[in-house]
Amino acid sequence: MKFRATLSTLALYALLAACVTINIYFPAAAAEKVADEIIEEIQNDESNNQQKVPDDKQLAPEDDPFSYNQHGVIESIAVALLNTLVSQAHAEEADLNADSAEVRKLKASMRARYNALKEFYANGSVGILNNGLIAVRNPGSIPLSIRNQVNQLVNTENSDRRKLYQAIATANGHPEWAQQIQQTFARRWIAKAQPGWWYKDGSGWKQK
Amino acid sequence: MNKNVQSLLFINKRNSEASWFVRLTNIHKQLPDLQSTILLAGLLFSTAITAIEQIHVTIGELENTHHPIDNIKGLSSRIDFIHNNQLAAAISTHSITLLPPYDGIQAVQLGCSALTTNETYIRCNSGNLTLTLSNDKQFSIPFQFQQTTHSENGQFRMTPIPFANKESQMRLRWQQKKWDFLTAINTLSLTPLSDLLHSAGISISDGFLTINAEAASPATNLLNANLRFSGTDISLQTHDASKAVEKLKIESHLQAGSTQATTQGNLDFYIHNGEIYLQPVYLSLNKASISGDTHFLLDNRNQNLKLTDFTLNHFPNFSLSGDLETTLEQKFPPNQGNIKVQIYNLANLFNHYIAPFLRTNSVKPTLSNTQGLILSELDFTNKQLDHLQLSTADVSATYTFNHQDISINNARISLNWRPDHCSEQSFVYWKTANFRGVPLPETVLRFKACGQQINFERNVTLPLLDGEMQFDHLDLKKLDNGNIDFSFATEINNISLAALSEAFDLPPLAGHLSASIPSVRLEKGGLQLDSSIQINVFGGTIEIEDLQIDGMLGSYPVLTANINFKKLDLGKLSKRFSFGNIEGKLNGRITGLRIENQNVVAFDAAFSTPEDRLLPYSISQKAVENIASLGGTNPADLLSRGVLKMFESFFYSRLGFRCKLRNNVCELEGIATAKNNGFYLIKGMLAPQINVIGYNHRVNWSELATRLKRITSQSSPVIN
Repeated sequence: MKFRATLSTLALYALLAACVTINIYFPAAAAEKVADEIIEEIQNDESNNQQKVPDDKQLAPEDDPFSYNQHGVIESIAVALLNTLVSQAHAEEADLNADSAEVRKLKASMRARYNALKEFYANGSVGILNNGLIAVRNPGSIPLSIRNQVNQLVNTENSDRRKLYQAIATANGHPEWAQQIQQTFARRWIAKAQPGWWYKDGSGWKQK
Repeated sequence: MNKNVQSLLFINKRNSEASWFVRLTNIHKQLPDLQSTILLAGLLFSTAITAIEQIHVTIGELENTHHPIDNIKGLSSRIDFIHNNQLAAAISTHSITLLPPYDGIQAVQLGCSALTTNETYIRCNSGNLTLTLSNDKQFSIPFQFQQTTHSENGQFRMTPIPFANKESQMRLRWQQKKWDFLTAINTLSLTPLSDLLHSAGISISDGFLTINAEAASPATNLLNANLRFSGTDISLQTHDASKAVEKLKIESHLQAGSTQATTQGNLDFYIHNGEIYLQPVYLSLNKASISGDTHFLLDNRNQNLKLTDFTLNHFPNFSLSGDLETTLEQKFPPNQGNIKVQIYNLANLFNHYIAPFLRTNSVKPTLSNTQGLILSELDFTNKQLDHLQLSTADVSATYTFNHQDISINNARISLNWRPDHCSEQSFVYWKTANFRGVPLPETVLRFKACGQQINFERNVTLPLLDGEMQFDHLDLKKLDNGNIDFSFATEINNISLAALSEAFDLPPLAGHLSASIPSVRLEKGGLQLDSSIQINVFGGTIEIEDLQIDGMLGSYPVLTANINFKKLDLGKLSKRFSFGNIEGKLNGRITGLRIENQNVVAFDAAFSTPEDRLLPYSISQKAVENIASLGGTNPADLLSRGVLKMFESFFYSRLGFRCKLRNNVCELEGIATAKNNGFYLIKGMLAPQINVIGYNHRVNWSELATRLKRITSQSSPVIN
């Protein structure tokens, strides 16, 4: 009887599993979270070159989401299978991987540049565009002695930003997401801008 | 000009209230140009001069006239007859469309309130040219004009010149085919001209010009000109802000003569004070100046230009002099010529003219502390550099990039380069040098340079620290894709690791390093070893394979390699690192090692002592504690409180671990599995034996590295 019940349970799970439809769409919330983390990492004055250290609790074996000891073997496999499917489907919605060699390199590059850029954010020479990039607000007002520095900072920053958006999309196996990731970042760069910084919206330049 | 032409002729007859007017619409006949329209007005005037008091000609629209006029609307010509040959005349446009860069002008009015005429001349004593700009601002330029009717003599004079000193004037005279021109404009304010030049993409914020010019054409196709101008406080920039000057002071003199065949003369200029920005180059001239002079000869037919005895001097940094022959279409490289370069301040030359093009990210390469004179000579033939010579005398310089210094002191360089044959010797010598913290003693390197490559002489020995590097070959070549390929093979002999580790900011090491590196390739800023490096250390060997360093000179170097460890003597190793004494031989392999910007981000590592050991090894209590703590377990309390505290060392049969590093997490495994999902890091043997069992399969790498560093930093190891 127990075997038959288990089979029934397995069949039910299999049926449920068969009904799972995995729709891969852009994980907006996860992208926003990734954007926030990356922006904070880049703009955090205290940040250093160390990688972000995961919470030790996350690494403890007891926190492993699967525990095979609580179920019968077949049931466990079935649950695990279903969990995996659902989990994977869920992962497609909620997870966004932002850790690749290219992303790390770009973050380090942008972090190094931020120390030079923040002065120009603060004095209004450089502003944040609403497309995920930055711009020199009034090029003619920049003193000649630093004009090239500001221009190059902005140009290289924009180049890195474009690469970053593409690298995140590529790291997640969806290079076509680059545009949506850029749009997400565009909102978050502005949201995380410090008071006094300038940003551009549909009506022109504004100061936070 | 034949499109949609509508003309209106309006005539008021003297002493009559009646008016005649003729309306001509859609004239399809080609009207020659604007001048014809004016002549038409003159013709009407001359035929009815005695009876008509006003002629007013209006032409609706003219298109495709002479450059730079694109379109004229509402062209109106009006003549008022006053008395005794006194007239008032005016030509105006409702709007005028000019082609760039004159498109800032929206309308033109040319009027003369005192026009006198008789059979021999026509004279305007009070003319006025008014330009209306697109921003509705107006410029009025007064003028006088006289033209004889039979002898083709005439004169046009403008005074005063708007925005200039009152005495300023401009005069043009002509007599048949001869003419002469004179202008003396003093302290012309440039700021009001900003609106006029706006459409040309230039904004002027300040500046004054003084211009004195004379030009004369004594006969057809002959021209002599003499122009002197000086500018002060000139501040202007292009609208895209890519070119700008501020508070510039400039003086220049041009003397030229032209025939149908040639134009020749002398030009000199002197720029001092102020700033210049030509993206990306910025020059401050407040303590410097740029001056130049040349004799020039331009062939008017083929546009060939010869510059003779030219000099260009950026004081106090460098000067150029020589002779060049080029064309106006392709100025550089010249057809032929010789340029001598004297560099007095290499740092300023590099930082002003070269570094702006090399800047990446926020990192700007700089050259500093330069001393010494550099002389160079370039010969051009057939539009290419044919020979380059460069020599220095006791030059010192420090090159800094990304917080790393390369310095050279008391250097002498003799460089001979030709595009095709590598026959002439060159050398570089330095008394002392320093490469990123590694001192390089007195050295001479001899080489031959040609085309896109530099070949150093074979079997070069370069002293390094207390040892040396022997280069079998050392070649540098520019590839077709623009990258630089730098390849060499070297033997490293007896280099002090203590000094090397200090220089490269590594954990302090002792001993000496000897290695053979058959092939090293440096390309695209990355270093790649085509073969392995074998280092004999701790009684065993470390073999580094597939070593590659990308972005070596950049801000984010990435190192990848595979490393084999063979029979390292744990006794020697543990002793030198104060790890606690361990007996045995350690083998291991790290594959996929990846270090990004000095952070270890990935590897698969496996280390262990051999399996086939029959007799036990000993391991000290301290070593056990350290290994256990590295595994995420801390048995120190247990060891110190329990019975085991009685023993200073234990026996073990095997130790080892595997670590797979990804995402800052080290996935740990031991040499064997243990109960409760554990793994053996040390497996005991005989008595007193000890087993170290780990249960934490996922260890934070940063934490692990910190612990390891803390343990190993307690003393420096020695490599034998």
